[in-house]
Amino acid sequence: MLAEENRLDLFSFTSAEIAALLLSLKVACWCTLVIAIPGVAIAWLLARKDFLGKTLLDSLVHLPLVLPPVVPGFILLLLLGNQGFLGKWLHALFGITVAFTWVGAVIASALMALPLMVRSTRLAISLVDVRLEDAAKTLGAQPFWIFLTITLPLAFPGILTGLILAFSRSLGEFGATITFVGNIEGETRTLPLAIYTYTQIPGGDLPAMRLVTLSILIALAALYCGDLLERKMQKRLGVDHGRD
Amino acid sequence: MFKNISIGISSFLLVSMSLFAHADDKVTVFAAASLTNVITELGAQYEKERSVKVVNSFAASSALAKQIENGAPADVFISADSKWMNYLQDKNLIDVSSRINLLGNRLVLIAPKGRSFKVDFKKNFDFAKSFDGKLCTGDIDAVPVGIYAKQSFNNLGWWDDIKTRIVGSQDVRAALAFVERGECSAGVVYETDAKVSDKVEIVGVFPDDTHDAIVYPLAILTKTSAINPLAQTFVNYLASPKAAEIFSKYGFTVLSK
Amino acid sequence: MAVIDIDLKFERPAFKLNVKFSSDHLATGLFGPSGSGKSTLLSLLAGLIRPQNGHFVLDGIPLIDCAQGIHVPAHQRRIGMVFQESRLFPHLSVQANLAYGLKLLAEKNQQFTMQKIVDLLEIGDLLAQKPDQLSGGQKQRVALGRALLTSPRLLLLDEPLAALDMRLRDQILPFLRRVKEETKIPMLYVSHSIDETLFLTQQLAIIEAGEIVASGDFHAVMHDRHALGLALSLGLDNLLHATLIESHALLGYGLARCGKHMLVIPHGSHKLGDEIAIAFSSSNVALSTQRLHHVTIQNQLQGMVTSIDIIDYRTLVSIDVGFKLIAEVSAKSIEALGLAVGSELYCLVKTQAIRSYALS
Repeated sequence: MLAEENRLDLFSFTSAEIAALLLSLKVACWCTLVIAIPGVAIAWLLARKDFLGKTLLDSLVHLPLVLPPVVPGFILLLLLGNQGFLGKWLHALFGITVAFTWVGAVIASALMALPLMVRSTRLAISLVDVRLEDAAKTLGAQPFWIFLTITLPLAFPGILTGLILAFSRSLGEFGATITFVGNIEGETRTLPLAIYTYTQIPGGDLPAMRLVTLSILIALAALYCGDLLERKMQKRLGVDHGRD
Repeated sequence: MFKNISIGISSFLLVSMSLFAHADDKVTVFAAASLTNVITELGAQYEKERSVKVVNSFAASSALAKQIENGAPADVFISADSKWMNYLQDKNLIDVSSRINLLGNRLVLIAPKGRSFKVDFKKNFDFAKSFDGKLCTGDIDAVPVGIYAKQSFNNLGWWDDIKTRIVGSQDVRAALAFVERGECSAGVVYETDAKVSDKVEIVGVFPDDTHDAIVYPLAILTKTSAINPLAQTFVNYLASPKAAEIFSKYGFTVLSK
Repeated sequence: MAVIDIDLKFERPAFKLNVKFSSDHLATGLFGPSGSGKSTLLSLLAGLIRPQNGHFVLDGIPLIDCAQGIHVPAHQRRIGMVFQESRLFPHLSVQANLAYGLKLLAEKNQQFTMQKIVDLLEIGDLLAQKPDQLSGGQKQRVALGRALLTSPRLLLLDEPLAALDMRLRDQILPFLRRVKEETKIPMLYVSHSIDETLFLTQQLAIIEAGEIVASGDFHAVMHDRHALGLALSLGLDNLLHATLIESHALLGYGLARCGKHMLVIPHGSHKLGDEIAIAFSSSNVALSTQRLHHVTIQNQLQGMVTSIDIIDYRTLVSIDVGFKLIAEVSAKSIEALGLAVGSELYCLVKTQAIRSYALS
């Protein structure tokens, strides 16, 4: 068993391992794309507006953060699985299935990463001086234009952090993914799932170790780049939060 | 206040550790997932009759073999195929004299209840076209039922057309659950699993000559220290006619020693 | 000329605003102590907060009418605002800040070009810089330019010079006056400094505890009994109308005729023949029973005591010198000199204690 995986050393990868890596990157990129706009929108609502049900929205958004990941995964399965409440309807109307597909993996990641994105973005938006937005109003700018030209640019470093956190979270997503879309090689077997699979098979320790090392390197790279980017943005914005 | 808290915590830890101290009056059984219902029933019976606690752990045979290799404290191992028992034997982790082939089983094709479809287990049958959607079974590289399934598919010449639609799960019961829920339109599990569920129906039985004989070897594990003396008595119980009746009830073939 | 008609009620925990005011002047100074509601009023006019009740009509267009459910949103009011903290956008260059509102303005509404405003405020060499590289005075000029470039129908200035030191303030005030005179945009200038306000306009509205207590011409307002406490606190309790007769730059003085008296005042920027207001506080008026000869005080006005009042523990003596003057002295000195209603005496006013303001 796993003869091919054990023939290679720590730095060479089998095609199955590379497939897992590429799938992880694909899912993480799509996940980040999918939650970017809703994440910013929800964060803005929570940061700037008061409305009935605000606490409820806040709690719902944070649920995936505090629940064990299998719970959201299971809920997704009930909702969007082939027999699920929404899944059946999607399939009947559009012929779309998300169970056991990488799209489902993206949905699982997105759900788990959303709270991180919203938290970071909300903080960034709330740090943007409302008085600047007021000034923009007196200059004739409509609310959405103010958001695009003032709030968004000034909050961008925090938004970027949120996106990177979301990306990293997706790379590490396991519980919800395996519960919702299973562990199908090439389709939903992302890096964490691949590592898990290898640890369940006798003789899978070496390939597991390879993938573990790879995961750590990717995560470090993402965090490092994120930090660099964020600092560059801060400088460009010339924002100083109450220094004088 | 902190002093009181730390005293409380230490006492709790000591007490809970003592709960684990009595390793000697129980038998730990690691068994293939397909044996979940039958071994649980037999274990409960045994406990009632002999007052010896039976602790069970059910998972795919590959996963169990890995755990045993890593030092899991199991006394008895029942695998769903010979491959994983051989693996442990090669690593000198079993008492070879205790190894017996306990049970047999049959491989079946299932569908969610009410969604059966027609299948001819012949080489020229277009299996891929006979149903829509995914087929669930154990992971085809490691989990016994998946390995058997792949063998059958290869032998029937259906493999290439069906391989992209296979969903591999971590054990046969997980695959069964997917089919029960209707997430998969078809599944390959053991006959005994299909019998235990009332949410699936059997579409057909894979002919025995399309896959290796399904054999459940059993052995006592040597572990790092001496063999648990209670293990042999439990194994004897499993091989007894009374147990054979219960195994048959579930649909297993009882193999003569 | 803006015709502003305001009648607004606004309430917050521990604060109530009830302002009734109208004006058709080019510039009006809104004056009052801290916490009196000046900034709140401006925010209401700009549309940044909503009143509970009332209306606000600008040039005949109702921008707020609570009874009819009208509340034109801030970005549609064409009311510009300059704040105490410049509120320049930190991520944009000076040029981009200036252009921010201009870009949103339809061409037909654009009264000023970028170049014109940049020249007016002399900010040409700042254009490429970012706000954090500018001094306080420069920032305010840019903020002013940014607001002007939206060709507002009304310009609200909320203590724009309060955060600057005196030197900077003196530098920018002339720019403000220039803006008023060359752009002809109606302004509502809020300040707690009367000198600053008077540099721009004589039309005042006095606000205290959320209400307008007096409004109109500076002279009339200061003599309004409602503004007495304020006048006293500002040292404007003696406020006279005068004409500049002579001006001597080298010796640093000027001569102003006030009624039948000629007063020596500090040299200022007024031109000969200008109508000016002269102010000095009552505590700077000393009393003497005879004219003094060997003393530096040149202003010695003869008159008669009309009343002696005690207001807030202060002893105020009112004297008729042809017009009314108020002197604040100690009760002891009144007793020592034996002063009473009808006493004839001289009011002594130090030249250096006199402030003068142009009357337009």
